[in-house]
Amino acid sequence: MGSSIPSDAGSAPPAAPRTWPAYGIERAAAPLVKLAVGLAVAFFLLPLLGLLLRTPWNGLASELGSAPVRSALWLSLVCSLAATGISILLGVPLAWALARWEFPGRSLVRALTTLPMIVPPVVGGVALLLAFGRRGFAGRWLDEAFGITLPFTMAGAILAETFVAMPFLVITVEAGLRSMNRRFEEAAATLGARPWVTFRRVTLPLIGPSLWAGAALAWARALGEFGATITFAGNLPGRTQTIPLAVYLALETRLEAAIALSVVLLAVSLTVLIVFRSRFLPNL
Amino acid sequence: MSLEARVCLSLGTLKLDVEIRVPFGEVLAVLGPNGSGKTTLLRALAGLVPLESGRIVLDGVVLEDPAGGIRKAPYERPTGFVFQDYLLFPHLTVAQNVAFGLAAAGTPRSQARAKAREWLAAMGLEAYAGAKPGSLSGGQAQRAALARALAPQPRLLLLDEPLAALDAGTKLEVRRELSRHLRSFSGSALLVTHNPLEAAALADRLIVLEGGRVIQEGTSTEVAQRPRSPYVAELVGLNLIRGKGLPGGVETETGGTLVVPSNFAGEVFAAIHPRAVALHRERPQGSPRNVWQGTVAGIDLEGDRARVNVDGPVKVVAEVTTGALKDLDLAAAGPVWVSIKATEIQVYPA
Repeated sequence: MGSSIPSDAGSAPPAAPRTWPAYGIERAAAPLVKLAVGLAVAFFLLPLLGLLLRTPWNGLASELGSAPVRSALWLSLVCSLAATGISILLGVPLAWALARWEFPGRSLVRALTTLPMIVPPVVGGVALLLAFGRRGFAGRWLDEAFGITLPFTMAGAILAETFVAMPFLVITVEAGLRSMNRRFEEAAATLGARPWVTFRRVTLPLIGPSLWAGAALAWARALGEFGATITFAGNLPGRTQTIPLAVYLALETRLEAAIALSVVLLAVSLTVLIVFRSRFLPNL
Repeated sequence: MSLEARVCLSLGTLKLDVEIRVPFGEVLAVLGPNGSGKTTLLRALAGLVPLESGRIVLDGVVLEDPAGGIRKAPYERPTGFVFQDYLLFPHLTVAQNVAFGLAAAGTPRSQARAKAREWLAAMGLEAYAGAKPGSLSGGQAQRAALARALAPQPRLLLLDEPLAALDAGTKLEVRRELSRHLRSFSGSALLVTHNPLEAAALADRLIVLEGGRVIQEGTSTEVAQRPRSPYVAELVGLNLIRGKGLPGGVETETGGTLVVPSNFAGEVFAAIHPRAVALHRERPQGSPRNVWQGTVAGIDLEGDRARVNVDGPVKVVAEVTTGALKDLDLAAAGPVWVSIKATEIQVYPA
């Protein structure tokens, strides 16, 4: 049924799309902008070239195969994966609460969660030491009640990495939860799915891309963690000496090993970037 | 063996207060303008929005009763919901979508899968069992959504504008199929729609909501012949004039008088089909008892017919052929004469 529309005698003609004049200043500034762009690109590119040009490609395998390097690689892998695992276990519920619950102090909790992304990692390490160190209030209690000591142990390295990595997961997953269409969850409920089933079979798969991206970011961050780890867990080969620490140490003694390990970290970062390019580099 | 519900709640500016009874095997259409509470009524029945007061009883089981402290969660209600945009889970295949409700109810996987296949066959979607919903056409997605809602054998089926998202070409075919499935559905069904033809084709009865209240109910024929609000009159395409009954006439709210064949007292509605309204450039001679002068306020073209809105002592819409439109030169300004035979006016108490 067509509703009645008044005859269009009185209606105004459609407005022409508004166009902005091309300001002369834009043209005048173009050379300067181009110069700045060139400098910025060079600034990002030159260090990369410096590293790759000095990489002992032929000896890379043997450098990475040496016992201390292998143990640093292995330790890094274990610690970063453990940190990622803890970040998922604690971070997903936290992201859920931040995205879905209204509670007093929610923005405060969010600020607290994101703080480790901004705070210098060394400061994070000092703070961890003061809380979980042997004489820290939480550390002393852990020691007395359970006999657990964290500083200068592998568990401490994992803790330090989790501290700096989890914010990346929480923020990414929260964004995913916020942008997902919650009516899919309603549809699941009308089909008889209890909340846990709905979460497992609908919510989780729908935020899957965010969860993967968040986990990858957290993992990459954990893998590269230096400041908090060295402050809180120390630099003990085989126990807390992860790749970044080994790189720093090797820089003084065996430059080739430092370069080889750096190339490994760079390759990991590039891989994460490429796998999740649609997320981080939507136009690539 | 019925749905009996009184749904009272407020949501934003909407205040919903609706009482319905839908026996098993019956389809009730819910019509109403945007914001009248149609979708909210369905959502309340499904448990997706809580009642403030009232009661929902399905087949003798109380699903919700705020006074008695009863509120079953959506997943505890034997309802199936077909959403306007279908909401098929994009990460699951069509077959997994259809099996979802069965799996949620604890049906063993192989059995759920077999049942889902049966439903897909019934809907003519076997070929798409392994496809993702994103690759389905609108009509196929609608059928998949219906299969998903029906597979767990709900006792209450809720359809929110199930045909609205379809293009005109597929609408008729999907409507025919939907009608077939609704006929064989043994529980209570509610169908929200904007379209009185859809309501007539799919439902046994209909209610019209306006501002959260039922303003009219009955079969589609009853509602179509005797609209009780301007919205319904517009939907079914009738002129509706409210006024006071006089001996042999109706005094309209705008001050005009209609001559009608019978006597009524009190508040009345007068319904006139636009085809019964004739337009003239000169004052017509002859038998029509209702003749007045007016001005053309707007013209809508619908195929080979035109609906002409005429302002005057009584505002009416006249339906004329496009040929007549040209002959009368209605696009030009100037007065027109309206004539209506008294016998073409249906009068009934307001």
